[in-house]
Amino acid sequence: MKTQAFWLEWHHELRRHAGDDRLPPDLRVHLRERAQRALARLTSAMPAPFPRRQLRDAAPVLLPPALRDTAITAAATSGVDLHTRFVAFDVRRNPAAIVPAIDWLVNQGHPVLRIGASDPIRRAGVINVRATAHADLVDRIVIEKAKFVVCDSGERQQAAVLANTPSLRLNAREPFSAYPVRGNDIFTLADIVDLDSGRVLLPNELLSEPYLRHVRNYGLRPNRAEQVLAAVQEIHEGVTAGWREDANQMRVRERVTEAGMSLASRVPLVAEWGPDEGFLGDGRLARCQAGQML
Amino acid sequence: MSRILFVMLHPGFIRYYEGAITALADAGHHVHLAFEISRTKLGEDETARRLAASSPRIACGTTPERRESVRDFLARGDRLATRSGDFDRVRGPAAAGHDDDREEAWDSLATTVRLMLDYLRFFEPAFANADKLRDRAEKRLPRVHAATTRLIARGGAPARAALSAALRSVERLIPVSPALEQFIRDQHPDLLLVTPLIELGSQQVDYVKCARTLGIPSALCVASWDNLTSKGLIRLVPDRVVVWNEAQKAEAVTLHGVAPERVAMTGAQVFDRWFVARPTRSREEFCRIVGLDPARPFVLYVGSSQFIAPDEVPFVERLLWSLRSSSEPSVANMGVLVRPHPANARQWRAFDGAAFTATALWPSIGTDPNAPDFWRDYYESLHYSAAVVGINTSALIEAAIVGRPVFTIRTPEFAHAQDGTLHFRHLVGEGGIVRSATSLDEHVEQLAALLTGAAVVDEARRLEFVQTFVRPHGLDAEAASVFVRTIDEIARMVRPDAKPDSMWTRVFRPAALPMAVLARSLAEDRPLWAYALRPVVTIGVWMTAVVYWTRTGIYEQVRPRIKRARRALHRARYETARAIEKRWKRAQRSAKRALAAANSAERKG
Repeated sequence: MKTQAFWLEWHHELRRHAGDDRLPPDLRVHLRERAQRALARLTSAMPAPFPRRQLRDAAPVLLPPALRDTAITAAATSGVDLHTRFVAFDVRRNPAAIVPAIDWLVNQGHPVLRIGASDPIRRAGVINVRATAHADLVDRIVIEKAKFVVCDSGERQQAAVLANTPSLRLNAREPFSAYPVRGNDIFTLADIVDLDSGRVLLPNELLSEPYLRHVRNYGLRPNRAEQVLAAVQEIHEGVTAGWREDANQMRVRERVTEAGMSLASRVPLVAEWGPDEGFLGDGRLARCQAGQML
Repeated sequence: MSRILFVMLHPGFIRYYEGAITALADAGHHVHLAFEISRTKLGEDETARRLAASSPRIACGTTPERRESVRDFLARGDRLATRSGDFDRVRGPAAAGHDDDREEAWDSLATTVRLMLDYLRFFEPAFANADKLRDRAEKRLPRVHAATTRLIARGGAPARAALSAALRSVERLIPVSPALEQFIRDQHPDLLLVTPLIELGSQQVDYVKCARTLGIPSALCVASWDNLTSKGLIRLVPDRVVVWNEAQKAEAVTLHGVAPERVAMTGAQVFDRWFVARPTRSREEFCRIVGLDPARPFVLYVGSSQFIAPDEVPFVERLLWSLRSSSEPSVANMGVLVRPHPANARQWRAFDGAAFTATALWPSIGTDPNAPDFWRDYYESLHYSAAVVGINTSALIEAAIVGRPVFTIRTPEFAHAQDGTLHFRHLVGEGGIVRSATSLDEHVEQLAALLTGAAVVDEARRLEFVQTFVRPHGLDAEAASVFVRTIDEIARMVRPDAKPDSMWTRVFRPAALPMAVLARSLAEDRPLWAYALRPVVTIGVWMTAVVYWTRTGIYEQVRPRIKRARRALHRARYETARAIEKRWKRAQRSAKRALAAANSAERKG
């Protein structure tokens, strides 16, 4: 970061003098070239890649015993029974889309614990966790103890990865930062909308440089109820009956890895979240979307 | 009748005064609208053209261009920008003798001082919860000034007062651009109006300053209900401040230090249209056009501006889900019409209205606010709705005028725009008209109570709010007419004496010039080490320049001379050789002739 700041300031200083018409023209041309070179160094200073290989086989990071006891007590106070086969939910977008999946899980005998600051969903089998004290610790212990986690933020996904709890990440903006490292995680991509035209991007456009350079300029349309239900059923199947990967999911991984390898030198987001020496992750895009991505 | 010069930041402000300006022209006043910057995002330039064409007494134009506008100042402070090749903008003190550079330095100092004053105000106790407003003001300032202001401001009220006094003293030393003064002289107005004046770092202060110098009465027209609390300060109080209501008058007096007798109250002329509007289509026809079931009541969700609700779509998704999950069938089945804020509509392209039953987004994104049916559509959206819901927007006041029950939901994601702003209290505080819920569940209960008739709509309270806040001179008193009367009175008042710069100002002004040059340099907002490095780089560059000049000098001056000398030498040698050769040949010929003559004489003899 400091190196980047230096090159940026160096670029500014040289450009500043390059614009001085009192200096010899040849020198100004030379200064401009040097300034461009500084800028090139700035843009080539890519962020360090996410350590996917190290995380692949890392031991779970669990709460230390003292905090664990505090968390369990706080969870019990909030009415959470950590001994049931519950599923943790922290999905902020469009509650209407997750309700069918929640109902399905409840029918399968899994209570649903909603964590985070989401608005409560009042349905049979759903517990809206509202811890008054140690809210973060309660969320942490719920993630550790959950059968699996369904979330729509990178933070929750990483927390599940650290605890080695299977996770389903919904509504991802692009396939790099959301691609799961471990084999017991899956994810879905949201519909991405060009906010200038209203056009929904095609799945393969999510691997294109123009999009990945300006991800924040696009809007996100969350997954529909049937997509969420299919993805929840897939992770449930993986957790209860063992993981299986179909040909489309494998090909998606290959395509995303290939795209990541070619874009990493040019796109900061891909440099940070793309493949780590060719390894993207053992996880997969949900089956219901994998076919569309190809 | 009077000549009125109305200086506006951009043509977007016309919408607040369109009716009032037309009424001024109808009353015989000549109004010249001068815009500091152009704006076309929502067809504002078209509004200006339409207004100018509506009366020969209305003209539109621009103000003189600044050497450095607030926009330029902010662009220069963009650390991540990679374009700063214009050396004229960043030239050092050595070149500050040039008039343009000097003017630019004064502009930089003026913007710096004004932004600091604006930032400072958000440390007052009244703004204790206004973190986002404070952050917004801080972001405009170069970091070194922000840090200094913050440090002093946290020293308590005396420290803030001292800093404010110091900054105001510096403000007095800043001269007005001669071009601007000439512009006002050329317009020779009887009255100068400015709006909004309170934008962060606004340069409109210079117009008020100039009017004071020239002895022209001036007035600030407060454009909207949040202007006096969510933006900057009135740094130089004009002769009159024209506000909507008592609440704004209190804000002008307590927060801006305006003397009560300088404040004139006219009501909100921008809302006049809502008092006379009537529907032109039936409810059935309207519902068919927007795509809702006319048999069911619908609630209108009105979008807020970018600052208030930068990410509004996820909230509306949750709101819709809460409504649809209600156990009360009238709420679960009611229609919802979503109306995005025209200046914050882009995000709604990602909204999937089809995912929700009985929900419509209307008008479509990108609808031209100058379209003939724009206001009719808006009015009928309000008129036919059962209730209006929003975060914090003028549309909630408009709904109250039209007679709809108004609701809001206080959520943590919009806390910065609700309890974090002072103007929100006008809606939900004592005397406010908006029913506020602290959760979506509570909001659903409120709507259920309204739709089932369990809650009574307090019509008297609504009328009292509308009268107090929108038409303080009576519900039947059109605010534009009151505005015209007020402006007429200000234009007729005794012209204030011209107040040229005091002797002290003239004495100390040259001493402030280095401060202005420094302000211009610091406006770049570079890290301090970059400023420390700058002399070294400058010396390095100039030493390299000397090498270049020397080399060029050698190539351009010395080499041709040597070449010329060599050529001259060569020519001299050549010429000499030729001359010698000629002489030799001539001598040879003479000798030959002499020899021949001698031989011939010998033969004869």
